Amino acid sequence: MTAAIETSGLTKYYGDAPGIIDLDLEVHEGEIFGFLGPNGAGKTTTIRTLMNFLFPTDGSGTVLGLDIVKQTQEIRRRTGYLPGDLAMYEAMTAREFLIYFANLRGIDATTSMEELAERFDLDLDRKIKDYSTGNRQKVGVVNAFMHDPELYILDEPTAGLDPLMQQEFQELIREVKAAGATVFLSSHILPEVDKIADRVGIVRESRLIAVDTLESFKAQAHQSITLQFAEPVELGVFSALPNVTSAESRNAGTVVALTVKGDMDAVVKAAADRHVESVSTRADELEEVFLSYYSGGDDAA
Amino acid sequence: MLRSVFTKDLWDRRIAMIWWVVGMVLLTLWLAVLYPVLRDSDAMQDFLEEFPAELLAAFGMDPDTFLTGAGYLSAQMFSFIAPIVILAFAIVAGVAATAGEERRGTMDMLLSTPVTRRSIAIQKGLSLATLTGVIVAAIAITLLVVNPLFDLDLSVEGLTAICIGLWLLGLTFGYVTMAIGSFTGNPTVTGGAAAGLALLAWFVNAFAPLYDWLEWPAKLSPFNWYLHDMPLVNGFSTGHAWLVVAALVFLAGAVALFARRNIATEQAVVPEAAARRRKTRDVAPRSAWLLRSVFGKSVWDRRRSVWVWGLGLSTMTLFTFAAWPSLASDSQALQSLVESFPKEVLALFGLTDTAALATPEGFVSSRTYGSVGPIVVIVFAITAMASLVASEESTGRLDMVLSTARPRPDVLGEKANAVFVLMGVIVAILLAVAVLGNIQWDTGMDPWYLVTANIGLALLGLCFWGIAVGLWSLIGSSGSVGGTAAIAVATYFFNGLGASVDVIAPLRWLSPFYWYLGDTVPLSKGLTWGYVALGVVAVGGTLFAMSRFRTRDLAV
Repeated sequence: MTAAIETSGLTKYYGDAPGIIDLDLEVHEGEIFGFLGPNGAGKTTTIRTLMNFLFPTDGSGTVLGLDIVKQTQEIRRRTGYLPGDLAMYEAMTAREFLIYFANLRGIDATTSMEELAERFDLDLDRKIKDYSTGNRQKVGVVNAFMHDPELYILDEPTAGLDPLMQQEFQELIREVKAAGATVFLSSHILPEVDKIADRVGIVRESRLIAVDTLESFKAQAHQSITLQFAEPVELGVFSALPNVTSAESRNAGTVVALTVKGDMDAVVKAAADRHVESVSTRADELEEVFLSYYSGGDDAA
Repeated sequence: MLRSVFTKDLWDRRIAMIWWVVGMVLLTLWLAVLYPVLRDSDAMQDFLEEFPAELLAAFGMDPDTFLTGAGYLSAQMFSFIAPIVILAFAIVAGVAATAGEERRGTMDMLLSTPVTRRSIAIQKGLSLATLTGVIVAAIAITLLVVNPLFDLDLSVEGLTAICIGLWLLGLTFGYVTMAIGSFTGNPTVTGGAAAGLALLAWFVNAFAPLYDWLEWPAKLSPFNWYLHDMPLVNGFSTGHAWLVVAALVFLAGAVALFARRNIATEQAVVPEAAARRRKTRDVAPRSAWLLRSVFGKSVWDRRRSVWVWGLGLSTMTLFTFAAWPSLASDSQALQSLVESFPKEVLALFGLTDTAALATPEGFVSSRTYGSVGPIVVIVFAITAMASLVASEESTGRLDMVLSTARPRPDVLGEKANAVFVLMGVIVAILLAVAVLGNIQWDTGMDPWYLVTANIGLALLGLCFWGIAVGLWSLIGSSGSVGGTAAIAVATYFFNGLGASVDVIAPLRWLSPFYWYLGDTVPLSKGLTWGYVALGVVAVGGTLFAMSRFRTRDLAV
């Protein structure tokens, strides 16, 4: 598999203030990559550096195998971009705006423009300044998708869209992936990333701190298991087991409550030797995993 | 029209262009109509013979040619008004081309297309050239048409030469502006720096005949290249070549700087970086004491522009005082200058007490309190209304302010108070400079009259604040700024025309300019009833707006 986006040591400072530091990132061709992090972590800086709106302070990167500074024009030809902070020509109608941008790309995108507009229930013939936030975002989405690019770079694409439209958007993402395109999107809406992303990278305080598949992140989630036995059991049997991070005994030792990180094999096998009356488990939300990364908690190490 | 960045730019300006063209045609016609009047005036002839040639040169006038159509238009049209208009247009367009687009955030979108940065900058440069060319062409065509009607006797070659020079002058400064904008990315800084450079270049060239030490720097001024060897009479010169070189160099600079620019968006870059720095400092911002009320915030908003306007006006005033001794030494010539101008022409500009022009009070008044001063205070008042009230409403920020527990009339009242205080600061700066100038150059004016003239000037500005905010409360954000500006221009000419045409004399009494100027220059009178009228409109307009604001549906 070749890389759709690859950076090595990519760094951007604004004067003394860091935007992104020493970013080594690889986004594979054909995948949906979610770029996550709290506000101000460096997501937008990374995206705007990839698009060559900003020049890297240090390091380098390629998009679709092309250098982000030297071959930016070719990159932009083959990329669909949706800015996080959407600014458009207010005095134009959406149709004028989109025709203008199709012209700047040297293509006729009338058909796909109208299809997308219909799909997102967008009236193209109103002035952009008269649109609500959600409708403006739809114009941005149509602009990013209408020329059928190989790579999508989307900065918080669903911001301002209502739940119905968010669903439509996710469907669209799955379709372009099925057609072979790569999607790089930043977000802080976890359920959305959970639904569509193959892999996720997390940035915090200008650094990339983790990249993995969603399954692996989920495996890191803590699970709570509560075992009720017919007779009291010795807590030490369970607290010493691998992966158990905390253990507690209740009801005169007949109930054992454990927190487990990772697989639970040892716990289940140890319990199997005894008379188990009931078992209840609860897995932490993915959200809690990410929150621990965001806040720089111990679990993130 | 949406095929390229170039054509899109033209499309964006299509409406504005109509106004620029109409304005320039009317202005050109007006100057052409005045020509026969001036030419046939004997007094004008005498004046030109007596007045020192160096001083005339400072106003772009050449005594040998002034009474020919070419000389007259060179002085009246092409030395002053036309360059101001063309430069204003080119600088505004130059700011919008790179810095403006970046600040609005649309540059990100534009750059996400495969159009190269070089191409974007060049296309924007071309659209600037085309639009400036249209305005210049409007002047040229108007002059060609009226040429036989008013016996201007212009040569086609001369007209072509000066108009192409004017166009190139506009391009030079337009491209300087684009280059600064591509470097800074900040529209305010860019516009200010470009206007400053233009003013400096004009000043150096215009005053070179008066001061020896300016002779050499003047050769570097694009205005010098533009006016070199009277192009309207003598046609093309080496000056044109210099202008072409300068325009191309600055365009190349703009393209090169833009190609390397880190494009900022307000939200994405500046506050993020600044916020991080502030976190480590962990102290209250210096402006905290001003941010306790709407009044303080409004003062804070305008804190920079107050200094710019106040110091700009004061600097000009200082030069006026400084020029007085040399003028006074030629008092006889000055007297004849004043007498030579047709009274109607002077009256049109509100100068009804012509004899006073040969006194220091009249001279300083005519340059500061009667001309530039009113422009400054009125522009300040209207822009203050636009930024503190009208745009505050149309951007939705007023919603935020009113979502606090502040009563509506208080919010508007505090904004008005801020404008009153800021206007006071501007005239206080001016007063301080005028008092110093009065001592330094022995102009011997009554200090009390200096004080009252400044009070009058402030009241004139505030009167237009009252009109602007009253109009806003009646017709809303979009029309109120342009409407007030139109009222200012109209009442200015009512005052002038009313002074010479009896039929419309009563209209004069309705003009704030009459209340302010009357028939005695501001520096020769104390407090007048006219000033009271100005104050009444200022306060009345504010109170009217406050009462209507109570029940206003806020528009976003």
